[in-house]
Amino acid sequence: MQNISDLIQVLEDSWDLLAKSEDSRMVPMMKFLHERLENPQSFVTLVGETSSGKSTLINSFLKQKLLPAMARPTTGTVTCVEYGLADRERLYAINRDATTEELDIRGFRALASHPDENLFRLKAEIPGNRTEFRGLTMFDTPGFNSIISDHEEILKDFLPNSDVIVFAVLYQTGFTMLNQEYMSLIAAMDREDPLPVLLVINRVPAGVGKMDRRIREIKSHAEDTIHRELNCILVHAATITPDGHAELPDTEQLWKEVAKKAFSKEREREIRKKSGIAVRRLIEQRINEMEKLRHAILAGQKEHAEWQKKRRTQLENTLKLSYELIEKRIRRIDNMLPSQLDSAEEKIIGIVKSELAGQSDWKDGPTAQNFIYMHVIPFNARLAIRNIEEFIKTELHELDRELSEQANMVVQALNEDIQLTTDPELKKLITCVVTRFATRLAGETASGMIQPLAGVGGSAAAIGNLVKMAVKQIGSLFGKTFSRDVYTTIGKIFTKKAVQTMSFALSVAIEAIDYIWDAKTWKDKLIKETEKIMAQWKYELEKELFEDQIVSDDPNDEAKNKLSILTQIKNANISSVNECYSGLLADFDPDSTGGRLVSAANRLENKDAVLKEIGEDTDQLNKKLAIISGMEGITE
Amino acid sequence: MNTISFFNNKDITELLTRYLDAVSDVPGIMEKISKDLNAAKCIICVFGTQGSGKSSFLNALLFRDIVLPADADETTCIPVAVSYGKNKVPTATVFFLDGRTEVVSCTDESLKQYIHQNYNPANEKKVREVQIEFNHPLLEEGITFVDLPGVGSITPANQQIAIDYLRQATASVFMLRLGQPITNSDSFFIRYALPMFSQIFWLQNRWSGESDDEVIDGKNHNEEVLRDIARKSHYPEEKISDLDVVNIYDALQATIENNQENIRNSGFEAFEQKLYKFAKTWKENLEHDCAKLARNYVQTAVECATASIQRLSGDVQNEMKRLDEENSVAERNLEANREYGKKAKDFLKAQTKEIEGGLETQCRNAYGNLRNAVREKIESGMVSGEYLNKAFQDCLAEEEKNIYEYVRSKFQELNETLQQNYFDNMKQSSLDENTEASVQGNFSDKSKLPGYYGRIGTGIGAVGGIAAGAAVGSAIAPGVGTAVGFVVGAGITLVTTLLGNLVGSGARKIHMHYQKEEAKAELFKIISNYTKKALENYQNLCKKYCDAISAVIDEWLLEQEKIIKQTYTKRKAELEKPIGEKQSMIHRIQADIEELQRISAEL
Repeated sequence: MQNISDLIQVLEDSWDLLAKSEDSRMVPMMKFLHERLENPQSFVTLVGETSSGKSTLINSFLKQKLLPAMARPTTGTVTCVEYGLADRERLYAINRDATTEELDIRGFRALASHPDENLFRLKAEIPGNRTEFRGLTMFDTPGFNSIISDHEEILKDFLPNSDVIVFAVLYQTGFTMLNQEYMSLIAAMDREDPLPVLLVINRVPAGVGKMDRRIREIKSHAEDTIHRELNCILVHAATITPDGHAELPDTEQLWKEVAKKAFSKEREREIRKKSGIAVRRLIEQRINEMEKLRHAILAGQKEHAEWQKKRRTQLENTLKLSYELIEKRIRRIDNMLPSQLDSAEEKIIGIVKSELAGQSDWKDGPTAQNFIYMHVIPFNARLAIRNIEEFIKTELHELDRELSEQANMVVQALNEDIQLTTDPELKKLITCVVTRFATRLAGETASGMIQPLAGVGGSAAAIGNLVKMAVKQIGSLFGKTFSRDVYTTIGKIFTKKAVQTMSFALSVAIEAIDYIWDAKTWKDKLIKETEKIMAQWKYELEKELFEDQIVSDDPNDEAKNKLSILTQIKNANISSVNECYSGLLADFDPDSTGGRLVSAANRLENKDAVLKEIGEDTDQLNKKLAIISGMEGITE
Repeated sequence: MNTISFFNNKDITELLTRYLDAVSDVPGIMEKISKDLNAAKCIICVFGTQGSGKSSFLNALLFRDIVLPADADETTCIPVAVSYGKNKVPTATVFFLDGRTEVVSCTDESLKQYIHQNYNPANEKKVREVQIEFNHPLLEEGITFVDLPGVGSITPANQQIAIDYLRQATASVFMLRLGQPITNSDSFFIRYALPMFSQIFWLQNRWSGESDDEVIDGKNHNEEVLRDIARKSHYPEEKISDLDVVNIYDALQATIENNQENIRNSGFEAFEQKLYKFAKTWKENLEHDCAKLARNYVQTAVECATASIQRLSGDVQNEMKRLDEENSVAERNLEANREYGKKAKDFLKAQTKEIEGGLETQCRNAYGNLRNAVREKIESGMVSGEYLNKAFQDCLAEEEKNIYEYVRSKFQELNETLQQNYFDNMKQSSLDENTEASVQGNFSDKSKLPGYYGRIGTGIGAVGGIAAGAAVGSAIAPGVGTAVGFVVGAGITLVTTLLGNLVGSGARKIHMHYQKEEAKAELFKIISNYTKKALENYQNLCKKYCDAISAVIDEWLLEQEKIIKQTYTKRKAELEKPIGEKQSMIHRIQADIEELQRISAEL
């Protein structure tokens, strides 16, 4: 079995050849892959309620009080701590405008507890010589009982790409309803491979072990929520020094367990496989480019130009039509959702009414109210939400079908061109174009392959150097399908929002209870309250669904503006369509600088020299491909 | 000769049996068709998404009054059949599961007691169905309207009745609503039911508050979903058209007030006219279709008989050689079919195993969810045993529905794959390719003869159909809530007693940690029992499903084998007969052909 170094070798040997690519993303992608292979990082994300001791866990790993423990939950800043890669301790802030600022420890801690508006992330590079932890990158996230909106990023970008998720629960509070809610969101993200969650029960009193009743309840409650068994680690409370300060707790067992998972053999194999495939894709892409250019030079100019013109018009129409399809579909969802919400509202009020009317033997008001607030409303709301979700899914499924149909028609037209063309070079050229487009359609491009390697949250992106910035761009690309993937992410957000909005509306109602349980009037009052709750729910949900809140000057700045769910769906669809056709459009662009097609090919003066160079480069890259094919464990 | 007497005629049946080798059960088919023609009954099922206004629709259409209980929500849990009777005043008869009947007054108040979910929860009154009869012009031509409850709201005991109605139905009115999209279970039901109807009337109920834009968008959405379903169930897509939009509530109001203008404005009048037109012509249409079928039978028999004569008058050795060649082709086909059959069964087995495994995950999820639901309810201070119990039952039913939904969708997927990858490749064997082709060609047109077209010569398509039927039958049968009932009963009482004494406005504040923990533990026990039982039940169901389809495949293969053997033996014996006997056979066949041609002319 070859080593990762072989792969690095192949990449380095192909470097100059690949760098000639017309694709501006090629070099950043290469750099990213190279760094990932050289410095195998592992991503550990720590989540938990505020004060569940996440920061202390990291501090005790570092054996220094780097992070302010019990930081007040004022912000959504994520702090990144990278161990063992740097040669000196470096602390810095990454700002929203992508600039970085180096900080001293005081500045670092100050920003951690009182972040300013411009702060995006904090990062600490800590040198160290414990080789078994080299490359461990820890993310300390805000407690999930703080501001809601910032957690989406963690859910969407961090958790799915983490090698280990440390879920910290405080022994004293037990597994709270909030824990349950958050854990169930994690459970909803489990795909074929369940997310690697490690349950940590923190600040366990001395002498308490795994058989303790509370420990067992926390564990089984967590397992009931995530629907599988969890590895559970107890971290005992730190001893208090005579002068009243807490020492750092002993977390050795925890971090050993983390490292075992984060640097496991399986994981290394997986990374090697994915990187190998990504390197191969990069090479294939470059070969395809050169093939295209070769045939463009050799093809008959007149036929070529005619073909290009014909297809460019068609392509532009397809693109226009695709946008229209998206627009139309979104407008339809927009049109129909209100009545769905109305009927959900009406239905739930109806159920409450019939509950109250049907039971003549209601013991008393408080009991009834408890039953209705704690069960009838949330239970039925969840059913209604599922219905609405199903509706959106069906619509997006249709959209997906329509968009794929368009794309398939393009493929079909190009295939026909291949059949009809008599010029053998043009035939080959079109074949190259189709192949590349089909690869994109199937989501099998190099960038698609790199995406899962990008690590936590395009975490990389957060870190602020140029290479990694490019990855964020890559990370936002779409793979396989158009609309369906969009939904899997956004649909979950909708469900979460809808459920949250409901709990919010209910909690407001519960706090506002001030009426006296008069035997004659309480039922009517309860119905009125229900109507208020439902109206509130609908109002909030409609806001989430339909209302864009543009605060930034740039309407496309998704980080600053709060976009409605529908707009998010629309944007994601548009970008997925753009991504799909971008390569083709460039192929048909007469001004394409890379000289992909005829006009560009014609501008070349030294055609023979170019052809010779292409021939040599292709041979060399093909040899590299053969080397990768010979490597074990890189088959797809 | 009219069509009924054709299918009733013993001599004709015998004549056809003699020549239609490729059809395995001619007498059975003839009997079935003649029965259907004689039945003089046309069942129109009214079904649709929950709370789409089925009962209100029938109230407007037939009674012009509120007779069938109807709320905004799904209320009907018992099938109600309305058919023709002599009296102007409707009479209602309640049929109970034990065979008892009871005549009740045909009013909203009285019917409610039997068919309304709230008054007869979980069908505790053990009602099978309710039949209403009265003299109404729309019912005159043997039309019966059946108000069918949605799949989810019907109890297992009634499911068979609903399925039977579906199987006998000729047409249906399918009702949709804008605000409530077609759910997965609905779509499953529609897919199962679609092929059974020759005519479907699509009706979208419109609310007064809905704008025209919304209505059109809703209509488009529904049509898309339905077309998708049609595509997947090989039902002609073009039949999914003309979704009529009617404001049922306005229509009902207008019919009660007898305000013709409002009836028209609600869109109801046009729809009503469609139904009247159908009621007048369904008999002719049915007869017409059967006549076509009859002519086709006769024609095919003539072709087969002519082929027989050719064989009998040809050179014996040559014919024998040809027969052997044909036979070996047929056997090769059969062998290939067996191979497919075997692969299909292996695939089925492997998939079933996988579904069983998936069920473990499902039940495990249900287990966790239910325990969390109990924690949530108790922690949030729900301490009245009675209400905790109620809430718990809701959650339990929901989890059960999820498990059921999982099994259902898996079965559906499995059926599709079986059909596409295996059944579609299996050829109907016959010793006479021509005969096979002509029988198939003519009968594969899914004419207005629901129920048995699949049996007639359409080859393996039938296996798919039957298998799907079997699967649906067994999947629907256990239904929602089966496992819940018997596992939960006892424990709940204990929880109720445990917490019962804590009820009261101040009770929540009392420290009652102990009782809470006890109640939790008790409910956890119930959950554990329930999930175990549910897993066992559904895994058994998977096994049954797998066995049922395997048996259908085996049966079909055996039947094919039998047909090949019989035809071969018969034709061989014919060829080996002495010349004199052959001559007289030819004469007899010629006489038969003349007879067949005479019949054909009369038809």
